[in-house]
Parts: sequence; structure tokens; C-alpha cells
Amino acid sequence: MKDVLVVIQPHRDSLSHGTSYALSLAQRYGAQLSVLQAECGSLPVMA
Amino acid sequence: MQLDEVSVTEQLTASERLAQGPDIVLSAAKNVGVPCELISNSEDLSQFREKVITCAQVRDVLVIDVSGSLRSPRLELVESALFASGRPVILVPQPISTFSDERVLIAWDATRSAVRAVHDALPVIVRAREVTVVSIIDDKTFFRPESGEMLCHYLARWGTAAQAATVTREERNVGAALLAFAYHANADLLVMGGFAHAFERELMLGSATRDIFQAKLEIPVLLSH
Repeated sequence: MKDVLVVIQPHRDSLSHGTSYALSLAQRYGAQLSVLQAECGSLPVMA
Repeated sequence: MQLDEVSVTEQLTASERLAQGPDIVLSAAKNVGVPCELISNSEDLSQFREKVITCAQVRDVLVIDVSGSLRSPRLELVESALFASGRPVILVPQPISTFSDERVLIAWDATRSAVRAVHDALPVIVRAREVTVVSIIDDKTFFRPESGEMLCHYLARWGTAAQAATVTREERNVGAALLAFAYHANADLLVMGGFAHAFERELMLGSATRDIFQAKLEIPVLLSH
């Protein structure tokens, strides 16, 4: 595994659980983390 | 620095928590030595889905966090990525925030999508401490009833001592039966195929895929199509 893609929500002030998971997955496999930020409205905001 | 037991979130400094959007991800990645690429995005919703697909096509896996059953527009985003990118998608429910490949459960129904899921997840499967291949035996007829054991035999060639198991869904839907089995097996990751077919320009999800999309997940699920 070389490259893990994660979609993040805009305007967060902390890592989402999914982003944290993707980061630990990338670390486990020595992979790169690619981050794609969603525009407002393209993903419902989650706590 | 290792993340085996501690979530990335817990490693953030106060100043990092104040950062916004991608900056906090870049900072967290830097802290744990993970190369991080920020992909610029200025598309609207419909174009954003295309952006996700094209980005996922040239990555190993797409991670999307979920909370409860999938609803629009996250549902359409997951569907687009899963059925159009050709790459696996991991749905990560709250409060899971740390990846673990200790115990991997493979939902096996001997379909093409299940085969795809196994091969997409091989990097994880071969590093897992426990791998279980579970088949639901009262939903569809298997051409080869010993199919689960055959998959275990194949995985043994990769150095993985997988165990085959069967479960009956009884009155439950397929997804609920799989998730219940995964819960009792204390699985860290459920690997399964995702299926849909086009019907008058709309996606008709396979029953197990629909069940998973509608479920309140408790463990991450890797789906491949």
C-alpha cells in the first residue's frame, strides 16, 4: 500500500475520526496520505 | 513515532487543534512522519464526485468517515467512489480513529465483487494476526459449498492461516448478520464486496451493500466492487 486517499470536511478544527484512521493506516503501511477537502455542502458535517 | 495504541487526535498539540481544515491534517501527518499531499479542490458538488473518483483511481484505498446510516450527499459520494473508481473504499464509523489489522473478517459469497475485495485487501490480510472467512449459508446457493475453505487454502499460499466459518442470517438481513458476526468475533475490519447494477440510469444496490449503507456500523468496512 503506497497511497491512502481521505476526503475531509471543510472548516474543521480537529481531525475527524476517519482522517485519523486514514493517517494511522498510512503510517502502518509506510504510505503517503492524500487529502482532498470537500467543499461546503458536499459532505454533511459530522461531530 | 508509532500510532499503534494512541490515536492521532490525542497526539495533537493545543496549537494544532486551533488550526483549520487541511493544516491540521498536514501538521498531524508531519508529526508522525507520514508524507502528506493536499489536493486542491474548487469544484461544485457534481464535479466534486468526479474529482473523488479520479483521485481514488490512482490511490490504493479511499477512506471516508461515517456516522450512522449513509445519507445524501455522503451516500452518493460513497456510491460514486465505490462503483466508478475501481478502488476499495473503507467506511470508518465513530468512534474508531485508529487503524488495526489484528483481526480481519472476510465476508465471502464467492461473487466477483467478493473476489475483488479479497484481492484489494490482500496487503491488510497478509499482515493480520487472525483472518476469518465467513459465509452466510441460508441466503444464496454456493456453486461450491466448500468455497470458503478454498479461499482459506488460497490465502495459506500467502502465508495467512485463515479460518472458514459459516453463519445463518435467519430473520436478519445479510448486512446485519455479517455485522453481528464481526462484532462477536471482535473484528477490526470487515472486508466485503459491494454490488450494484444500473437500472434506468439509477444504481440498484445489492442487498448486502444496501444493508451496510443503512446500518449503524461499529467497525470499519472495506468495500470493493
